[in-house]
Amino acid sequence: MYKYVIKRLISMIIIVVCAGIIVFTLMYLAPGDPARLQLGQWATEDVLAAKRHELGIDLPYIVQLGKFLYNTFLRFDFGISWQSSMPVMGELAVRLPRTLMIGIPSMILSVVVGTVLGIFAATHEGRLGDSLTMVLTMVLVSAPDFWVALMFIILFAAKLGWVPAFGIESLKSYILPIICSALPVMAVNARQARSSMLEVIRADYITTARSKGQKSKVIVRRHMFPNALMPIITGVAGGLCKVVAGSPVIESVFSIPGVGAYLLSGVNYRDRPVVCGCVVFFALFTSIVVLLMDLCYAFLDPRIKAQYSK
Amino acid sequence: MKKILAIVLTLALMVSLFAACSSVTQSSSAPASSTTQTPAAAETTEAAESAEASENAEAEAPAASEGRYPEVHVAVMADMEDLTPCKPNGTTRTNTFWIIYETLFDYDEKMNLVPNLAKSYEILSDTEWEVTLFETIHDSQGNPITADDVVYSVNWLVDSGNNIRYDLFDSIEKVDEYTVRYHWKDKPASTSDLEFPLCRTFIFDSDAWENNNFAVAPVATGPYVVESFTVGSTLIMTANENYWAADTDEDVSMRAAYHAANVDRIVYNTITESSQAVIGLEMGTIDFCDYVPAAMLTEFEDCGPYADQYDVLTAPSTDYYYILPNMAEENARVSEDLNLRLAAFYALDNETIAAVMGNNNVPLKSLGTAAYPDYDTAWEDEATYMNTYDPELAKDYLPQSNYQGEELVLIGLSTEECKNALTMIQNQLVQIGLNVKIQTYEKSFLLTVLEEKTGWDFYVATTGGTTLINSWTRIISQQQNAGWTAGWLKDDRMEELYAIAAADDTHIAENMKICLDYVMENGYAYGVSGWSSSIVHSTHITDICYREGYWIVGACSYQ
Amino acid sequence: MGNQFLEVKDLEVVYTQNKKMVHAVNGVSFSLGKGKTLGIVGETGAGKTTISKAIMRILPDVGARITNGEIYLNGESVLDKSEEEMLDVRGKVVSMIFQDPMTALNPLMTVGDQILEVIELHNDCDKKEAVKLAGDMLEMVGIPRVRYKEYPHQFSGGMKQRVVIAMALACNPELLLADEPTTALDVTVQAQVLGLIRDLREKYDTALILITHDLGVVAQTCDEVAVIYAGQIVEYGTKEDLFDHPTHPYTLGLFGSLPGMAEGEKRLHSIVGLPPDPTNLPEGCKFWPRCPHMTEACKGEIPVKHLSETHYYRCLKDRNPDGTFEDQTKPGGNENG
Repeated sequence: MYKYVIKRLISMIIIVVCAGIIVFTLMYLAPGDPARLQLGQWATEDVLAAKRHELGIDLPYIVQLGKFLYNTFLRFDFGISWQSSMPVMGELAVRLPRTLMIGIPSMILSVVVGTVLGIFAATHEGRLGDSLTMVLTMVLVSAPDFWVALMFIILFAAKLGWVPAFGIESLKSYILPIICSALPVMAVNARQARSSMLEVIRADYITTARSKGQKSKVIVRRHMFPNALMPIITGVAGGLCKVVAGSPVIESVFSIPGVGAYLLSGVNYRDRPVVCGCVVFFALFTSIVVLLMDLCYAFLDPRIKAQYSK
Repeated sequence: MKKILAIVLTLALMVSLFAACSSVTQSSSAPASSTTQTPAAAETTEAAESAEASENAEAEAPAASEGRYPEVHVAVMADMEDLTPCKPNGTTRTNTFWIIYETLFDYDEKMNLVPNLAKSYEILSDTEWEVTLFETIHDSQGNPITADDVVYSVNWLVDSGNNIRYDLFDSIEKVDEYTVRYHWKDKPASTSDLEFPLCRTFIFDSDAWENNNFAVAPVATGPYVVESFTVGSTLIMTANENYWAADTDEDVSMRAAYHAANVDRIVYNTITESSQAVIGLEMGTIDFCDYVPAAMLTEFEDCGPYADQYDVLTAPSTDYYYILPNMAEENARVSEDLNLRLAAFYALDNETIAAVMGNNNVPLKSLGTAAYPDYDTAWEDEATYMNTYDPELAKDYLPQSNYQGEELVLIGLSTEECKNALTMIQNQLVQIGLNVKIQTYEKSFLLTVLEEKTGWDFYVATTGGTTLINSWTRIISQQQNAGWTAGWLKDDRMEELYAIAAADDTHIAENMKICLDYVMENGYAYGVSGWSSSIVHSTHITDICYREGYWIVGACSYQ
Repeated sequence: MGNQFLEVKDLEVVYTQNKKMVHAVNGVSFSLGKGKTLGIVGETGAGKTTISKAIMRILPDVGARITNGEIYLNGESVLDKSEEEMLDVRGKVVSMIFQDPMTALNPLMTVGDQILEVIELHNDCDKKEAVKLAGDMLEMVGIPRVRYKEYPHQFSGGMKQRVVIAMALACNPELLLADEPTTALDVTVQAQVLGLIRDLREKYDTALILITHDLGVVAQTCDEVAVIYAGQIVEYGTKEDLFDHPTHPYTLGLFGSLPGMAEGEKRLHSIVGLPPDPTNLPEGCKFWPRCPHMTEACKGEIPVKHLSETHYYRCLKDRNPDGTFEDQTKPGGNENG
């Protein structure tokens, strides 16, 4: 088992480095002159040249790539943002808690409510409860999240005044963003939970359990749920990764200065350190989450654990 | 085993939740990376001082004599990101930087230099100017500003590589405690040539710079100090209780009125989504917004539901759209073909183009808008291709040109407004038989495309500035591309006429008309439409104060 | 109303599938004495599993309904019991062994714990005692006790089936329903499993209903045999009755399809046609579309004919002792005397 973890950690490092190289190259190739963007349309050529030298973008590609890799992976320094002259790492550190403040409760909410809804729908298959749940989830999955967000804002913030509409002044300002980003993921989780529960319901070992005289509730809890759990965990891990990528849409609508908004503004300004820093960070986070998810599988399912140990 | 794991995971999640909580409260109370004391010095409030400050600092605007208006919330569309005094680009920074920092001089409407931190200047020779400072300047922390600091700030700007438009600047030296001497490379043709060195360079104390992180907590001489700055979200400023101009004995009456502090506290909220800004206004959390979409303005106008809480001020702004032909030699099909250009321009009807652009776009009658001090409305009386729609005439010009039916490329920004304009222009050109293709680009890409001499034929762009002649720089000044204009035009006569019209002593309407006529004879530009911007503001703000066309919230009048 | 241990009368079960009604069981009656073995034989889809699931009342809640009939266990009506009462019956009085051992066990629980579950449900002993009992059951089916904490995927098919048997017999049920317990296993393992079932049965005096389509297994294990076709018992008798005097054309077809070892057959004989569509069963005798002796009258009422006290069949025709049928209109098909 430990060998498996070590192997995964090594491959994780390789993946993150590759992601860094790819995003660096893409940003390098992207059209648009950062010097001109910063200094505006009035700047003359020599000023622009000086700026480019200061930013270090007049060096050959390989040299720039080398410096980037060295700084990022050996010194853990993502560089200074071209747009705002603030260190990227510092900015990420400040913004990450805000994104997580939305993301983690949103993920918990979507997983818990989604799974419960899915189990409810599965156990009431074919009946009214199932149909209602499925229609609801279909609506939530299809509706664009910024539209839902704006509708909620109009209702709860403007008309009822229960929560603030934007910003991060108080804890209450996080309520709407959490709900709005949870809803689509919750719908997906509910559908996934329902289908995996249904598969499990039809399984033979459930009939065995019934034939032993076991009560329905206990069967759901002890036999159905653990077996249905694996696809749900995949959904959870996927949701967590999505959450950290910060849903730039939600952050933009609610004016939350989080990681997603940072990445978005970085792309708009061709701010390479910001974009590379964010992407490398996301890659790292996603890899760790996926690794944890695979380890969870191993804990839950002895067959997979056996596979890993080979 | 599984139960233990489950408990550990749950605890980890909860801990991260609480960690997030604590950092949130931390960042909203004090700037995260600030190490200095919060401007405690500024907090010594005395009613007498504030009354004096409002009296001294501005002679015209009626002071709120009981004290300042408590608090105003402003919605801004883009974040300021960085308060370092070197990149005043972007409208949001313009609105905020000018009340934190101060420069040596300001401009008045006639482009004359007006004292700000400097009380006077003397022209010693063609290339030497001497500038004398006020002697009692100090920043919000009490550091006195002297000639050393001026030299320091200027050299810092030059060294940081952000010294745009410093073409005439050669060096600066200290003469005595409160006097500096500027050396120019050449005689400045007009005060507008010295715009950046004299009026756009912020002065700050060298010690303050070393001890503070100006990016989030600047220490400067302006009427407001930054209380806190959450990047991407909120900038809070409070009136500078230690404002030098408020308690000085020197005569500061010549200074511009907008250095007043009429509000105690200004909160700038970065709200990128305009519908959110509208909701903010409706909920009363926002008092001031200049980017309410045109369709929503009616809510706040006289017949709307919020009319008693808000006023709408619609003012023609100075920015306008124009079309530039590609005059590079390599692009002979346009640059050598006057008839083609005239045909194209006569075929355009900027009334319909403006209508299609929406958003309060008003068609231009000449190359500029009436919002400029040096715009002469008499120009509109003459019939030119800008105020005439004459497709017949266009069709007459066309056969006289060398146009063989090749595809002409029309480029512009990919914003909604610009795209609409481009489509209408294309329609109108097609009407007379031109084959036109549209290509839209995102801003950064667009600038790259323009740097090529071929690949585009007509470019729809915007320009603006403090004066009309200033706004024409982009169109006809050959300083743009080191000897060519932005549209790759090289015409010595044009440059000559422009220089005459731009120079301070010859900057009169007649010369501008000569310049304009030459432009239109040669089909060098076409004025499309000008914006009028609408500001929705709470009725507590009775009068909006402007500085060179940009609103300054701190200096508005309140009730 | 007899004094038999298990009595099933006129049982009818209907499934609703894709809006169509599937008539799975169409009037099945039989009885079983204590400690006896009944073999239920038939093709796939004949309704054999449904009958056993109906007895335990573990038919899927959605879609399956017992539309008619009575089931008595020890004199008590099973169909009248509440769900709670059934919880006490399942696993304790009646238990079931399933067809596919590969999927019958929960892959995420140890085999020991799965046996433990049934023990704890029906006994009031403490945990330690119950674990010991579960270990005993493992030993009894030939699995070393030390493998208690292993997971199903670590066992072979045959061993998994043993675990299932251990679970089924852990609480000494009075009736064991074995649904094709050896179908998924190879022949050598099959012999072991059958032997195991037989030994345990004798030890605990458990009644057994063995569902199979394998006549060889029937011959080894069963006292009485019911041949099911399209949800009905078409022939019923003791093992000797059936093997020596198969009467119903379907039974004849079944026996006829067994390859004979001696004669050196070149082709296998099968019964002509396919089993009927259970949503649309034929009128009258369900077998007439495939019967070589069919007449128009077969589409009407079919009587039950008794050949002896223990042996009956459901057909219009009478069969003569020499093996021929009366009213034979055409020869053909395989007739084994």
